[in-house]
Amino acid sequence: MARKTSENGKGRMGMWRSWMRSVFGRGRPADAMQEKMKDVAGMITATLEEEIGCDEAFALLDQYAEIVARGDNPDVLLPLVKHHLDVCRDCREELEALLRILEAEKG
Amino acid sequence: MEDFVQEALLKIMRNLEVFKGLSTFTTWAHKIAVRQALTELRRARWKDVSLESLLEEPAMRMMMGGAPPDPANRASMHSAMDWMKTAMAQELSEKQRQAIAAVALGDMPLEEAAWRMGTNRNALYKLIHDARVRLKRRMARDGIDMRDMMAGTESR
Repeated sequence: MARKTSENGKGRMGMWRSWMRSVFGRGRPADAMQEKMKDVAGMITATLEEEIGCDEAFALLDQYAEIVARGDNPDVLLPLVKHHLDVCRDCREELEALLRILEAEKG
Repeated sequence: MEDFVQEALLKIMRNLEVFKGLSTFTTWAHKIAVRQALTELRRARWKDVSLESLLEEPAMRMMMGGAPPDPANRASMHSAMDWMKTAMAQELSEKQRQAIAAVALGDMPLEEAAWRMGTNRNALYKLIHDARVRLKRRMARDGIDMRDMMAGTESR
């Protein structure tokens, strides 16, 4: 029961974990939910005043994938798409699938 | 499977005039097929999950419900999570809170959440973006150091 020990071992982190568990209980490990909240915090921090949406990112996703596939830096060539992909899980999944196809075609 | 292939081909055909030749045709066509395939997989994976049931989970209720602490009472905002809850309650619309809870905390794909909320994926992304902008501005106003929040320690 290392977790229990640490919970009783107190300090801020122990209280934090206990609180997270009480709030996010019901089968969701507190650590996992804590990670999720960190993700949300990270998303807020990374937010730009102007961002492109999924439609604009999708329109450029094929070009972006080819840039990545040939080893060039997409941060420089398509920075707004890169930022969108950092924030948008759905678009990132689609890019990863597309990159796997390009990789398979090369091989 | 056949339905997916047929639908993907139809979409490729319908969008041919959009293809500008800035990538190879096969990459462009694969992009459309990938979107179609993942959309259908997400739909199948989430078909039994309603937005209401997702938002009823304790984590979601906590983020969305309840009266926020008195903003004048800084002592009550003793943790980063309290700050987050307060900021979400005061800065965001109910729709924005629902969207953040479903997509960011509940892992629901944008397209699925959008469908349940009567909107589309792009519009939902914009709605969440607007929410993030509001929270970031609030963070600056309140002098919140996000590194504290990320580390799971108390904020000032």
